[in-house]
Amino acid sequence: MDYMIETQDLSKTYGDFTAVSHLNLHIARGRIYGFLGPNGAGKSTTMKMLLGLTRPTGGRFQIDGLEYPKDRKEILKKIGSFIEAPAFYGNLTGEENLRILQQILKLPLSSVEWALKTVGLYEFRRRQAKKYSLGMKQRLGLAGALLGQPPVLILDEPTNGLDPSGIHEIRTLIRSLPQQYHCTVLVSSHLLSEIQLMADDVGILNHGHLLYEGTLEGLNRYAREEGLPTENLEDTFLAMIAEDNLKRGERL
Amino acid sequence: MILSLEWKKLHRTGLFPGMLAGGLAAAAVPILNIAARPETFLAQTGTPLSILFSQNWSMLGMLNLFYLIIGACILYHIEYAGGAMEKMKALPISQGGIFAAKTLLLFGMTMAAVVMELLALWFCAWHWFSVGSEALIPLLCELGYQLAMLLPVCILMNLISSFCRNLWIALGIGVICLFTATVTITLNHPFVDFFPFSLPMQSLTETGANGLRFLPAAMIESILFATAAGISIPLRRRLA
Amino acid sequence: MNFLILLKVELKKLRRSHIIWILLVPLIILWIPNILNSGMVMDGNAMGIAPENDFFIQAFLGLAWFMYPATLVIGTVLLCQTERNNHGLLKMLSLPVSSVQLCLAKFVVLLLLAAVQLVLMDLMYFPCAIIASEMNHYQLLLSPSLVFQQTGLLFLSSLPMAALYWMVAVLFTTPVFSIGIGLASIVPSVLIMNTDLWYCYPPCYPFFLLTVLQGEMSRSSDTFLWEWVPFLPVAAALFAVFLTLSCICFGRAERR
Repeated sequence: MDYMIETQDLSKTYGDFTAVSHLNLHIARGRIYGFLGPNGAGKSTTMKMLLGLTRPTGGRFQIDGLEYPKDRKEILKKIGSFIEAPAFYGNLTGEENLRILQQILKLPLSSVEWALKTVGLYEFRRRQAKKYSLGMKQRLGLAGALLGQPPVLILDEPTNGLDPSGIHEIRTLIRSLPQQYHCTVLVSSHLLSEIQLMADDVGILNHGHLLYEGTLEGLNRYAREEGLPTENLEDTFLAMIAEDNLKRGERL
Repeated sequence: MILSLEWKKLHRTGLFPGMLAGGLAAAAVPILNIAARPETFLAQTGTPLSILFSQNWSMLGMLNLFYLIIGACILYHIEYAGGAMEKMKALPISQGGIFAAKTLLLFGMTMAAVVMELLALWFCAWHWFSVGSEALIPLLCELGYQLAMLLPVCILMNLISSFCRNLWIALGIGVICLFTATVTITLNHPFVDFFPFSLPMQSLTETGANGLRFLPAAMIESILFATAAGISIPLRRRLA
Repeated sequence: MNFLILLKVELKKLRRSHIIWILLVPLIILWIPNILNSGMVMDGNAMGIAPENDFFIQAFLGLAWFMYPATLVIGTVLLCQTERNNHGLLKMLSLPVSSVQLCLAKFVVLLLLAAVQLVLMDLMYFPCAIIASEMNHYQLLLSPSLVFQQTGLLFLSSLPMAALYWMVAVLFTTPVFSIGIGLASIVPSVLIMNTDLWYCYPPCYPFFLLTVLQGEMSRSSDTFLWEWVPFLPVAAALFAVFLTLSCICFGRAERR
């Protein structure tokens, strides 16, 4: 199998707290990989490590065959990212914010227009970003990630703060990206229903441990074998997390 | 209640420890100054305190103003940085109350710095001029005088800071006002003398009875700025 | 090439920051009393300095003593807060950009802001000197080459100080401390200037330089002496250390 992103025993500890523990992810080229887990499971930390924003305390990873930290810059050239809250300069307009990224990434001018149109911000491009609504800020962050059509997209809860129609729109957009220009998408969420509608493959994370990795159909099969509820995938996910928490000797 | 809330908001901003450290650093200035060249100090005529104040107060007054400017900037920066201001406006508490509490905190913290500086000057007077408890009364008078001089600028700076969403703008305005006080001091114009940022640069010990005329001026300015705050803060809310 | 793009980007981030007013307003405030008081330079003073020299030096001393260092401190606050307010730096670090270059680009922007203030100062000097000349019926205007040369030296001598404040701003992410250390370090420079170890304290370099010039202009014996050794090696070393440390630590908090 041809993997775009691969990690081996990737770990991150802060003092005595383990955020991510021996993670082995396999993200196939040209597919959408849903990264699922409750809040605080270590999704953001993992994504930040892939972007070189956090130094792993153990393990390694490769993106498109490039090794971190040796090829950090080459890796970053291939990734469009959207991490945690949208990052922008409030004093600049949406367009100016993207121009900054465009110049750094040495992309053609037209890429900004494309990105703005893709996320539906084109008519608001001359407004200062601090005056954007929450959903617009979110879209601006997404536009920044999509800029230049990078082969890898890392999106951390991209639909947070959007209204239902916005969620649907962004979801459809993400869904269409691999066909549009053959990119690989790693998208996180704490909602299985969300991942179910977007992803081809899924990785479920709890307390920094990977509980399941594989296709969505495979998840169904796995649940049946483990005796978990299967009528509804959301229930499967919740039962899986609950069981794992119990194993860790935690109360629910 | 609001006061303790405002105090809680300062957790981990480093403002209070910063002010204490600033006060200690300022207190070190006169001690190092005289320790480095005691002969220059001892050769001068005048009372020990007046010598010490004339050699040090222009610097200490300026440091106090710096601390006050930074303090005011931070007090409102924490409101704007994470959008907390919007939340505060949505709560059933008065914006004016918040302003008053912040001003009071700032005033208290600046007072701590002034007290440390005066103690350092007392130490200098005791160690190099063998002045003992007789310095206590003049120093207490000086403390009262300095607090009166700092009050208007404290209210004004907080008011400026409350208007500025960006930290550097509030800081810039404060620093420029302080700069104005230092460059216009040569003009010897009453308008300049009563400029709120000029007031804390002088000491009662140096000016003597002549300095007392600034007391009513400081009082009037304080009332003026407090009124300005009282009007502008609710007005801003209504206009928003 | 790459660095130039970064620089362009950094300059773009200054849009609508209103920083130009913070650079310009103190100069206006500085020149007004200097013109109004220009009669005083005519009266002559104990130092025996020529009125035209005195007019120039008083204004520039006024700037170098604290507004110019304070401008640098405000500049660092501007550069840091623009990045931190909405996670801007987080985004920058996730781009294929070397953090060292990013740090240097920001430092260059800081120097540009300082340079803009000095250029504005020079540009205002000429009309102000002409007005003051008219008022006093005496030629107070110095030759532009002298003015530009002194301002250039002033700028160069402020490089270690700029690097110091930039390092403080990078190391202390809590604004209270970065601003506090920056502003508080300005005040004692008048004291340290009088000691033999003045060259160990970068914030006093520009002021010291002008005081030396003042001494030369008044030809009095009781003045400060500018000695290149040990000043130059110490200043260069401090500059290098400050800049290296800021480059190493840049964005550390975001990459935790």
